[in-house]
Amino acid sequence: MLKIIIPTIMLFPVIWYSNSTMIWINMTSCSLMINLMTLPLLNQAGNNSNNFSLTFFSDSLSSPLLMLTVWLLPLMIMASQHHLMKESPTRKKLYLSMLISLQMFLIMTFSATELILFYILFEATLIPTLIIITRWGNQTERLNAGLYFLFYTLIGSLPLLVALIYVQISLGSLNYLVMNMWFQDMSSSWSSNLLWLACIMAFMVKMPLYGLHLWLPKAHVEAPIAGSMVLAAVLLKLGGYGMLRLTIILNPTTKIMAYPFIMLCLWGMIMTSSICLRQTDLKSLIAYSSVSHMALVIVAILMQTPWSFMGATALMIAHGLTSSMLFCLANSNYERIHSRTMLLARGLQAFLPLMATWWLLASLTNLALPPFINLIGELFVIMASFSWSNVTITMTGLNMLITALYSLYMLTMTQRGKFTYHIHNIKPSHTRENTLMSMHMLPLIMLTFNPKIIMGLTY
Amino acid sequence: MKLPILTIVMTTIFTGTMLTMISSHWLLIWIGLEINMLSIIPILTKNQKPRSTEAATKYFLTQATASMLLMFTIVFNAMHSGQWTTTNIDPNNMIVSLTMIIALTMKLGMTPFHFWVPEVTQGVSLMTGMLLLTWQKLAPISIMMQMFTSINSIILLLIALMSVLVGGWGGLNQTQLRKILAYSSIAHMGWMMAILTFCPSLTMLNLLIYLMLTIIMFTMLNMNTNTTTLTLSNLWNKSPTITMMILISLLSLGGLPPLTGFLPKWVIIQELTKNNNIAMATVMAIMALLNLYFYMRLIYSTSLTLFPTPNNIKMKWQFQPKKRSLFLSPLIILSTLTLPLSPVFSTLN
Amino acid sequence: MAGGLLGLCARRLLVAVATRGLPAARIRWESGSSRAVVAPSPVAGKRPPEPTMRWQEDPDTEDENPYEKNPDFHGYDKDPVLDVWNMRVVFFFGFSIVMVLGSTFVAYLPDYKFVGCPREDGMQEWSRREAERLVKYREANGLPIMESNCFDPSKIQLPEDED
Repeated sequence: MLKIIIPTIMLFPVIWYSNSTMIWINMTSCSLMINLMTLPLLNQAGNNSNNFSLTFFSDSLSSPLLMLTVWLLPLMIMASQHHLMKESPTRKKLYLSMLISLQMFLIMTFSATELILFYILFEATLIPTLIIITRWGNQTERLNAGLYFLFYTLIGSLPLLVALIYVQISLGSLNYLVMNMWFQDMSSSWSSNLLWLACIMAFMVKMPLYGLHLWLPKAHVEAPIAGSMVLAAVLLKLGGYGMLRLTIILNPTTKIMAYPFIMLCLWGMIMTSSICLRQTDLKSLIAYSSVSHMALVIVAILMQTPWSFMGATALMIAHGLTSSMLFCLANSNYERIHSRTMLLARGLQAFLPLMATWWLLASLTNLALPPFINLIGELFVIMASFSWSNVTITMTGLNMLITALYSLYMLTMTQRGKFTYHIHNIKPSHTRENTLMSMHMLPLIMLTFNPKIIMGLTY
Repeated sequence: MKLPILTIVMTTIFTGTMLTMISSHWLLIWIGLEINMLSIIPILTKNQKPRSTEAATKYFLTQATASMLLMFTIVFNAMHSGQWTTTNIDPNNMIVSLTMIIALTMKLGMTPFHFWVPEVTQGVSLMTGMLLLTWQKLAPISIMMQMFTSINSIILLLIALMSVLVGGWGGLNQTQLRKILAYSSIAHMGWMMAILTFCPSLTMLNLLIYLMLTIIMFTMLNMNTNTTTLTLSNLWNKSPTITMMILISLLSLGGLPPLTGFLPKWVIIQELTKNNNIAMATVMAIMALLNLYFYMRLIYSTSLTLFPTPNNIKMKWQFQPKKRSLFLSPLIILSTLTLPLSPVFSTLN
Repeated sequence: MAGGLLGLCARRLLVAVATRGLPAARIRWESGSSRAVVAPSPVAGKRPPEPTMRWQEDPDTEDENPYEKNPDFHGYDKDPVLDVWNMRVVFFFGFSIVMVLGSTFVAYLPDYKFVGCPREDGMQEWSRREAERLVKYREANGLPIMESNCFDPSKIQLPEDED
């Protein structure tokens, strides 16, 4: 694992010692090269994990997430280039340092063997994200968004710390590799229900569960582009990852406790996708669509079947790339129109035809069109939940329908129709933006050909 | 204050605390506390303003009350047990253990007796405030640690819990930095006392980290003489690096995970959980978020927003004398980045 | 149906914007800029604020056209040389190296995992190859393709019964 972590840490000297004109070039090339280092992680030959040391390991669940994290850093850097063009070199460097430290923490989070270390790093990702959101966001509402983000996550996760310490004291270890061998069931009592809640709530807030999701649209809307991207693509997945890991030791209690949460998710994903239908704010729409997709992931994880685990992992990766791409597209609009309101950016197809293609592709992946991995993920989840209870097909089916509707709504609102007069002198789409979109889209397409590497533990 | 006088006064302050720390005879301990209390009064009134006189009076009155209560306890205990050594306090003697806790928590400024802390800290200068919130805590805590076996733990836990709550709650409404730091001190005292009866070495650890953090916070504020949130918001014009450091150290003070401030919280929660005190651990952890909330407000106004300023403020950095601080950078590193060293501290138990 | 409804909604909104087009466009600047949460500066309280005072965080509202200076602008940097080089670096490292090498690597990964049973170990393709070899061998030697004995019972050496 150190062969990824140390290059990531060495990115700090790379930017701080770079000539101020060379910051972007150095950063993009070095961070892209780190991607090559992560490729051997995909070589998960057996069913066991690759244990690099007592501290770090990777298995077929964490390696795609690690790939996603590392792949996202150059994309974030490219996406922020316009946003930071007018900042002073020191501030650019500071911003990039935040992104790098975020990547460093995320890599360690996804590969930590010890749950307490996982917890500490899970919390550590808050600080750079908070700084990115509240220092480089565009409006004063970002301060509120930052507070929401921080305190929702902290209130959710402090009980987790206590619960983890309690589990450590009662089981003697919090190592995943040891916990896999732990087959003793939890007792069915109120206290184990409470323990379950304490363990899961932190991740439910992070995912976010419908009802605990209020921080997410705020944070997404107010964050600068890199913040939105990493939040949607990776930070939400921390919740899913943590739940997948922790449910190992929460064995029979999950079956009892899952019902209200599955209900809430099924209901919430319809609610949030309906909210999407009446959004005027582009970024807020994408944020709510994230909530609705993540609800599917929560449902899948709580059902605890091999199929649903496969679906959850695939959906997490697919959604990571798709939502990040949608945020990039929204940002490219924002940089031209200076507004997130969809009404003010109509008819862009006539001006930016290539960008319209990317919009179309991104909307199609978002609504899970057949060949894409989004469909694989959603289909697995829906099938697993159908066999869990036949009634769920009404909810999940309806949700797929509404997802298609709001994707269409988003596409038509931004691309079709009559353009407004104030976008006459709009800039054409830059090479940078098209590159960015293709760097989101190509992995999605290539994973479609070979989806088994993102199927997770139960494949 | 002239240098020779300052030297004498400071030496007396240190002598008093040292005397308390090293003696095992109650009378000497009491004398040490009195020497310490009396000699800090000139330091408090160093700036001769009405506010500092008021602060000194308040400090004197509360500390004298606490000392008298302590004296009463000592004499009462000596009368019953015939002993003057610190370890021989009868835990079953309700009067002795209660008044002892009251006296010491009043000295420390813990919750039912905390009202003097923000007032006194607000009345004095930044460096004196630092002395008040760091050095002055040493003597009472050293007494507590010597006699922790005979303290009534339920009452102490109650006081600790209330201190954590009040330390978070009281600071919410403040814009004065010294008051905010005073409330943060109350909350930290709460954490220290919560663990005292379970594992006093963790109190020691928490005290050390608290001292480091408070010292660097005061030193950084003192560099530009910031006493309100408003002046903090102009700091980015004068010393941008300090704003970043204030951000990190405040987050550390609030106990956010990858920073050192999380370490005492973590080990204390662990120890409380080990002793089947899960509810207390959870409640304290959640209440510490109140502290984090007002630290976040400071962080927002210090470093995460660039406030509109008139142009002449932007030139100010050239004309202001730089106050130097010797140990600032090692202390900042120690007080933010020592969490990876936590296995070292596990040997403390 | 839904599309029609959507179109109707959109059209109504468009009309609303068209009638109030200019204010809607102006509002975003006002809302985007200073709704400050700041206490007033100490200087501003006593005398009128200086004209140079402005909200530091606002991005510049006016868009300058980068194509005037550099017609071949790629969106990376204002400096044309850096712009081109940044683009080349991204293309080389991003596409030529990571995408091409990465996808080749992933495509030629050894057996990823066993399909189906989650408790089984990997090596699916390997076991299939071995099975095919075995079948060919048995067909060539006229042996039955499947037997109830996995190993030849005569070749198994069992420990002697000692008691």
